[in-house]
Amino acid sequence: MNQTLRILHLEDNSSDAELVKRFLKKEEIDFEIRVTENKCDFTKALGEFCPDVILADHRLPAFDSEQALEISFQHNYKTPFILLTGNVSEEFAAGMIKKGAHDYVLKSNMQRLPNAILRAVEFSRFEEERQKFLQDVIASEGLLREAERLAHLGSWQIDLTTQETKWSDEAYRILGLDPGETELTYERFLEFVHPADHATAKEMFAPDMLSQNDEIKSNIRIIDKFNNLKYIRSALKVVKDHTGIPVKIIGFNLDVTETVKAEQEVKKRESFYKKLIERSSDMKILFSSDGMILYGSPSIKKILGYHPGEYLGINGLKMIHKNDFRKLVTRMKNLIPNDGGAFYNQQRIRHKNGSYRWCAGTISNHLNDPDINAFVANFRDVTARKESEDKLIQSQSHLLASQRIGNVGSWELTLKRSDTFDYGKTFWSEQTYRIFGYEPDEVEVSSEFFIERVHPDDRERIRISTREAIRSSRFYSSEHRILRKDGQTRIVQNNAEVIRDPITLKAIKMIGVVQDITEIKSAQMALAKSEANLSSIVHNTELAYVLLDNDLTIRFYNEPANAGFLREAGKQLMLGSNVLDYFTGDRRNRLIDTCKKVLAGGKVNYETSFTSENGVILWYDNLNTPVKDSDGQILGMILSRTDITERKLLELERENITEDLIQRNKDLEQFAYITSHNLRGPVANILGSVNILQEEDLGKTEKKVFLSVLKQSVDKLDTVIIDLNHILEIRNAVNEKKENVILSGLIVDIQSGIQQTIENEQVKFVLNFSECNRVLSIKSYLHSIFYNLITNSIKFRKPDIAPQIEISSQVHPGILRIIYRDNGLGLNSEKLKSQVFGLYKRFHFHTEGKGMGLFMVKTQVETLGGRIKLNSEENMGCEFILDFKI
Amino acid sequence: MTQTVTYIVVDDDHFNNTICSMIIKKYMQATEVKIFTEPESGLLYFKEKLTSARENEQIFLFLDINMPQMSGWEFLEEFEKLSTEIKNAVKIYILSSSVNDQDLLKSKNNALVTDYIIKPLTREKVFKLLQP
Repeated sequence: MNQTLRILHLEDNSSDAELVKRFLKKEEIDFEIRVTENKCDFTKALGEFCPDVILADHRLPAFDSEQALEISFQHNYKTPFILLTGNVSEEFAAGMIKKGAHDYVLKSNMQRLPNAILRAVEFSRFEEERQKFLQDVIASEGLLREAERLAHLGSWQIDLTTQETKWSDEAYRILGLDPGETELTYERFLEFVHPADHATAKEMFAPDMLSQNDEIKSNIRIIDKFNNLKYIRSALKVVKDHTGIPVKIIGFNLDVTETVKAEQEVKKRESFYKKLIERSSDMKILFSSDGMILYGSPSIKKILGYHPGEYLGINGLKMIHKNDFRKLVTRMKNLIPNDGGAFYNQQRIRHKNGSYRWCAGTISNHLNDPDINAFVANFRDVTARKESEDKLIQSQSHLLASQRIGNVGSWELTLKRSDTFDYGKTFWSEQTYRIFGYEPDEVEVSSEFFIERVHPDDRERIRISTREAIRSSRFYSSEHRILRKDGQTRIVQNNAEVIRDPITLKAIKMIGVVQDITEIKSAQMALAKSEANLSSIVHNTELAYVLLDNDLTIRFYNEPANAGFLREAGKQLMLGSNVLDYFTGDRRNRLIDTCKKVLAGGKVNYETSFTSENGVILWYDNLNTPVKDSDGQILGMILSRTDITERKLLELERENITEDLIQRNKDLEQFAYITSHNLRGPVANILGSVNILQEEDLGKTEKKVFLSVLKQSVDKLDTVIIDLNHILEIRNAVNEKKENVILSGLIVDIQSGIQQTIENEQVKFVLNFSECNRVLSIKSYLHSIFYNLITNSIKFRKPDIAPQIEISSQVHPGILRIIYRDNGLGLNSEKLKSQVFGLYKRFHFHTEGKGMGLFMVKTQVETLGGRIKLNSEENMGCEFILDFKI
Repeated sequence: MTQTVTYIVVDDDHFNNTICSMIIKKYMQATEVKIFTEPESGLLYFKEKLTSARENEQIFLFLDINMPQMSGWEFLEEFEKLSTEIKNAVKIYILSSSVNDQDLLKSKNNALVTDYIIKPLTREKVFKLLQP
């Protein structure tokens, strides 16, 4: 006991009093004792000394213990009273205790005294507390009932020995019952428990549980009489007897349904809100008015590198760059009284790695919002933009850059009611004023003021797009004309963001920047125009263009290129596809070779042809060139292609004509040569004969010989001249009348003319003019041509095989082809090709002939505008192909 | 011993051959005059009869160009294949009615050909030929 024990001792025997002191000292009790010998002193001491315990001798002169007990009771009945006496009867002692004495100690048994005192004091204290408790309980019983009702706390008890149960009124109400409506038992209570919590509830009352615990707590759900789900926090207090056997359970049921529901609601809202925030790449930071961070969205990790543990509960202002600190703090301070207000700010925030990131966005005041109780910052990392701006400023084009940046003004528009577009306060930055031609703060601005400054033709559009931006909360961007104060019209770019209340999601503000883009715009327009011009040139040209990357990806093509690919590769060109994918096989390989050469820096130029579906041959001139940057680095290549079909056809025609001319020239040369030879031969003989006849002395016989030579030579000369005349006649016979010649009829005519020969030689004809039997031509020439061919075939027949002559006609585009075939001796045509149609050429010498036949055939065919070709092998017969234009 | 001189004419033109033999016999001291109207026969003569040229034998060949079965040029191609002795022993003259420059040029470029004579062969042409 740490308190000095105050003892009032009633004793007239001083030696006894000393003895008490000694005993108490011996027990090391810290005490203070006052000894009184009479009634007066004793009474006085009760008031002054306020003893914790009273020791009283029984018999004193004119005073005794009975009186003393009475007096002390009157004073304070709680002070323990111990009778300390010599011999007294048992009855007396018992009577005293009955009267209220706490204990009695015999002087002969003084050693028991200290313990008796301590026990008495302890008891009295306990009793005092008990009394006090009882008083409190009694006093508050009425309140308790009310409190139970308000707190939805029901109480009950079960006497385990008698199974008697008691339920408070609120315990009934929690179950949806009227107090006392029915007799409640443990089993009846279980019927109300939610099936899923039955096991839990039963377990609470299990004998083991009760014997091992003094207190059992559990959360269970119940379904009340009206089928309402209720959340109950249940606590049991187990009362046990001195052997530890549970005898009684006192229980409390607290209905926490509303709390749980509220918590659930809060959680739901929280998670919803969190998700909203966390999905955004912007940083959302909730912080108290003094900067303490209460919440941060996950993007903080991404942007600033911090884990939640590294910033939660920390003063976020410490992370602000010192140059941005003062402004931010000032603005925050100003924002405190502005409930629901916001401002836009840019500040550097320290990254975990020590660097600073520029973060821009709004800070809004939600201190009085019970759900938030904080400032809400909505920041975006604008470092890259900021850095590029800074670089621009630092660059040599300082003047230009500062002008451009200087041309950006900002503005804010408060929205009183977003649904009615009721605009509130408007703020313009100094530069915004300047853009509109005003001095800063020269006039008071408003949304009306702004709209009046917008060019009349743009006004309605701007009004609508602004409303649309507010309604949809989209990023707002518009380009429009404004009328400056000085009357000048300028073009501005307006970009704005709609700020929403993060809780109500109502648009509360528009924050925007405005930039004078007149110069940029006119430059852009000029560029767009020149681009459009270029593009129209590229698209309207006949030339096909395909622009390729280094990896042969198609980056650009024009319509002629697309048409070409569609025609030849059967595929539309696709930007981003590989040009090699359009071709296969040889074409692909050729293209790969070409591209390699070009990408190595060379130009590749070649011609290609393509035969279209209708048989028309298209010709292209392809020029593939590398594309280089100013350093000469190869960036890609251009495939360009020109349709040169027309040019090519002319060229081919020219080639044909040239070839024709060369052939004709050769023919003429040969004609000249042969004629000269054939004319010159007889002439030489005539000259020789005349010489001899004139100069020599000739005998009669000799003279006769040379005169004969002379005569025959002159005859031969005459024949040659007649032949030539005939040939020349044919050559010049273009004006002869053309008529429809039936080929089968023509052959019949020829056959009848040489009927005897055909019969003798047993010539067989195989004719097939089914494809074409009629040709507009000069009949006599055709007659001559086939007459010569047929007689040749018979003349140059193989001796052992009967001649067979096959004649057929074929129609080709623009051409009638007649194929004439025999089974005669044939010629080695390759060797004799140049001579076969020559004049006076003969290849077989066993028959008569002067070598005029094929020459005449050729001449006549060519005069008719056709061509003749011979295919032959020695002993394999001849095949003549005659092509006539139709 | 007097020199043996043989004149050979290869030409399909009978009239020309008549004129030639007349002129040669009259104006040249010909030991022998041989006329071939078919070039193949002429070639055969060189191949078989003149396997080795006789000593002091002078041979003159008058060769026509325009012949149907084998032209003078083809004849020369075959002649080229003969032995050097024969080639050395034979002096070849082209005798043609052609006045074409091409023929003239062609014969000049042929090493076997000594000269080109335009028909007809006359006394004057023979004299000029025989001058050293």
